[in-house]
Amino acid sequence: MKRTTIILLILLCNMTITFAQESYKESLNGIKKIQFDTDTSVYVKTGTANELIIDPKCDNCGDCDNCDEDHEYHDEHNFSDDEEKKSKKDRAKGLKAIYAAGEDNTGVGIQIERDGDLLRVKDLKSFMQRHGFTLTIPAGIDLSLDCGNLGSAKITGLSSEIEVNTNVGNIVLKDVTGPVTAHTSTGDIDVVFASVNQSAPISISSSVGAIDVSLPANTKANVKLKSTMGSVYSNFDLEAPRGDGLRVVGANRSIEGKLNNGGVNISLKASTGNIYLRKKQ
Amino acid sequence: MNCNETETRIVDYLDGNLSKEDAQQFDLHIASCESCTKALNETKILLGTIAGVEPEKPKEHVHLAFAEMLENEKEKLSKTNNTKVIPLSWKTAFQIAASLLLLLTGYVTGDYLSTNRSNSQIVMLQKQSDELKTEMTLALMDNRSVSKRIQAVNYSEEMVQPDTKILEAIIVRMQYDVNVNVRLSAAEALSRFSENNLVREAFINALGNEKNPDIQIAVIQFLVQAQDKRALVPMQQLLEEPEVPIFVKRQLDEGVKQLL
Repeated sequence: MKRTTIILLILLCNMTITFAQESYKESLNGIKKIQFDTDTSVYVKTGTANELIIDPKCDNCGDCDNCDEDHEYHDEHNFSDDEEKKSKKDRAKGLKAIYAAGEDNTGVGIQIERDGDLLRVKDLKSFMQRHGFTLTIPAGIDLSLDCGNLGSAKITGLSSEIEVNTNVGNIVLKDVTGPVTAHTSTGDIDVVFASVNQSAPISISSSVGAIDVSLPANTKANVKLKSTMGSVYSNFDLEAPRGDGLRVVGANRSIEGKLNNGGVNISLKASTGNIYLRKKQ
Repeated sequence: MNCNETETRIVDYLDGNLSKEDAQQFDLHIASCESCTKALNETKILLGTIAGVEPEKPKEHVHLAFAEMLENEKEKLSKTNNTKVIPLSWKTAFQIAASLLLLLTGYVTGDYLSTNRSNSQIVMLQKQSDELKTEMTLALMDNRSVSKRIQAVNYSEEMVQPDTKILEAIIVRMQYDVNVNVRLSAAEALSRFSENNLVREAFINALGNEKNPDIQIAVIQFLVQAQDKRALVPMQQLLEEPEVPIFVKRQLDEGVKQLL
């Protein structure tokens, strides 16, 4: 039963993707890492095909303000009669959209460049013209995502290296393995790890927002938790470091400890927000 | 019966301690074995020589002296029975103490020598691992992966005394890396070198250039801890800037007070 529903769902998704007007596909042959720069919210999910699917819609971006229809309304309906709308398209006929940020080589306001095994994807339109993106990529591709000033980010299921930067948007990572590097200025960061990759450090920081990280209870890690003006909460037993006076960093009071005898470095830093480190239920 | 068994029984045979059957078998083997016959004869001669030595009889005055000594000892024993043999026990105590001392000296000397050797080995290994880490760190510093760059910065924290090359590389990360987390990790890694002038200058520069509040706070905390008065003017300037967030200004305020 479950399987058939899943298959049906996938079919349905594919249908919507194929019928959605501006959905764009790019093959990922020879690509190891995608760098995606935009100013709008982004939801990233995993797919099985070795391709990047960019869908200029985001039903799953949560609390982002720029996901609602307002901007579209302002954009298109200022002069709300149909003739005006038509003439807008007509006016553009035979012309090419030009963007300050780069050249549109996809026809959907996005610039895609290959640089060795890196795929650079740059959204050329302003957040006013966007309603968020839904990206579908294979689980093993490294992702570097920058959501600009207002966008928020939600990423699920990636088992590769993730780098996310937002300014005011929240960052939500679910069922990821790391390495993770995430930073936001005012947003909250929520991360749920499926397991923790031991190869490279995890570093998560927020200036004003809170950081909430869930790890499997058996995770091996050296954790460093620091909130300059907030509090730190955890239900892990943080084994105290050696009391020989090493590594005391003056005014920078940070909580350091080992989970399950230590492992990869996990650093959570907040300036004014609280930090929550919890065992995954 | 083989040669080995026969040879072990030669003495018993000569003393007549063997059972009849064993003696018969012994005879049988001796008759057939030349080397055992030889061994038997040699043993016979040896035992004969020993038997031939006359036991020496003690002379009369030796006997008397012995009797006297015996009496003396008896007397002593009866006396010391009451005093629980104190002089003897002192002597033993000294002997035990001396032997313990000897043992201890031996142990300490051995231990000292071996730790000396292993200490120098540890120092050498430490040096090798530091060199290895230096190379790895420098190689990783420019890695495309943010996480690897942070790893490189973290490596330096494991080094006892990273060389200037490493410090310079971390300073570059702190000042110019595009990723906030890398800059933050770099600032943190550098914070233990508050005595190093190169590092201090880098932090003072960062105070003027850095726009990210998290790193600004780390920089302020470092300079306040290092008690570097040169930071005072740029900190006061930063306090005047409108785009600096309030919580950073609070840190600045406190920092300025502590520096004054």
